[in-house]
Amino acid sequence: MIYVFLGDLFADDCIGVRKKVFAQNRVFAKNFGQAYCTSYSGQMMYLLQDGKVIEKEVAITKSDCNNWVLHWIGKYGIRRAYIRYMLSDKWFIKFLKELKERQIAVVLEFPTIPYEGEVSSKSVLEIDKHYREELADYVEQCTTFDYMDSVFGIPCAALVNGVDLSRHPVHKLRKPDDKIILIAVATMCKWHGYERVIKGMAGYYQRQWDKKIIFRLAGEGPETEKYRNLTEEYNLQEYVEFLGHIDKEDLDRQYDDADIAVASLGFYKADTEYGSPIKTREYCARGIPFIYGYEDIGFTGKEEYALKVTNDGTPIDMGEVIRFYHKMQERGFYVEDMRDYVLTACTWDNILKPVVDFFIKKDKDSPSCVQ
Amino acid sequence: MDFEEKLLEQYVRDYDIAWYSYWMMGRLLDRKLVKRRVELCGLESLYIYGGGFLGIQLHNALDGMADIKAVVDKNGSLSVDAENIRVISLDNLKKEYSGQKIIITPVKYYQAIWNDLSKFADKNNLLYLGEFLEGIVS
Repeated sequence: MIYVFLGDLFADDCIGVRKKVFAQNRVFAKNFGQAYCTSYSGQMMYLLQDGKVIEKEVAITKSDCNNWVLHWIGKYGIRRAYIRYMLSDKWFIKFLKELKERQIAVVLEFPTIPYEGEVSSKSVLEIDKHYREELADYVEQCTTFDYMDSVFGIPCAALVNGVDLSRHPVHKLRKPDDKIILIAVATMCKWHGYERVIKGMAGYYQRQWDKKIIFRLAGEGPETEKYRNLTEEYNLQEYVEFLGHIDKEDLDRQYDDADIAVASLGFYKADTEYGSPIKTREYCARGIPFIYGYEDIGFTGKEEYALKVTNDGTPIDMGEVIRFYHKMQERGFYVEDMRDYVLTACTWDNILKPVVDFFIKKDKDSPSCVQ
Repeated sequence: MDFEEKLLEQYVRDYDIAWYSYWMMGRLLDRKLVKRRVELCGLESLYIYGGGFLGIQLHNALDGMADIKAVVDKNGSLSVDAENIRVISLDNLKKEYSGQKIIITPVKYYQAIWNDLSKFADKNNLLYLGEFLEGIVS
């Protein structure tokens, strides 16, 4: 089994993707024996097994990348491929055609649908729009994190983003005091939309207030500078803290010292309504109530431990946040509910069942499968 | 593959080589990045293979961060005049080499160079420039 990812799994802004890929691959390994994945950086194509590099080759063009993946598929007797979609072009279609000719069972994952809002280059999008019409000629099954019957003519299985429970201990509940601590753990990209929190806090502190609200941002990314500038502009330096990159132990401590987590609030910027980001599942696994601003296919919007806000640029109402906080304090026992939800709905073993079933069915149809 | 297909593949390759070379020239200007990568890759003493722009740029970028034994070029010369750079030929490298890392800078001829060097150098000591700048460090 091979998980084909033609990007840099170890880039700073790919931490979430890497966690997901490795977690998914663990499920594939459980079901199909050896599971490999690929990564591309510094014009090097890497083949990884259990997170460690076992092969590396220089690959300058997309053709080179594809040829190395095909070479490793042959070398290791791989019969199944799970491919994370990264836009179509002439070479991607050629790659899929080659996989079909070799009778490799393929599932294509669309991380986001629609994704046009995330692509800044018009020409790249034009090429993708042209070639993606051919995907259904070579791919029998795809997945996405939304409820869709098909994508570009390919039958689709809906997946909810999953989480590896063993890596997310339950956070210790903070003793109530005179403040509410919000935490956001992210790579600070535009779809996180944390300026809505900062602007909401600006409005809050301009009026008479009684509860101190602190907002901590763990992680760094393209929007960090913007958030810093906003914090200065609104004179919120005392209330908005930038933690930068922190290690796991530090992160565990930060979760223990927080009351509410903040998930994505900026999906509208990518013209996306639906999603299933891992972040909310991670917050659930830790038992920390959270705020989110989109349609999450894993949540109804009525969960008591989640505050759903609008999917637009409206500043977050801190009054609503305070009411949500008090509600959680009064309710108690929500940690178990959150953890239970993750156990039943969000572990990758459950989520990837449609994919595993598809591969097993393909095995039965082609008894010559090795792995 | 028909003729036009081959021509397209060649254009794409030439374009990608030019683009990546430009990208690497730019990345080498970032001293913080270069320092971080020197530490990550455990570079102490090394040779640079390739006397072209990338090789010279790498030499200047590593100045003060690692002990550069020499720039190696098949012709034994650099593409620009640089008095402070020791240049040796491949034959001389074979004579004096004693297990250091070698960073290969030419993008187009990487594989041929790697094949030549791996005849006498441990493959684990051969590093492509892109790999040095952005690759996975085990």
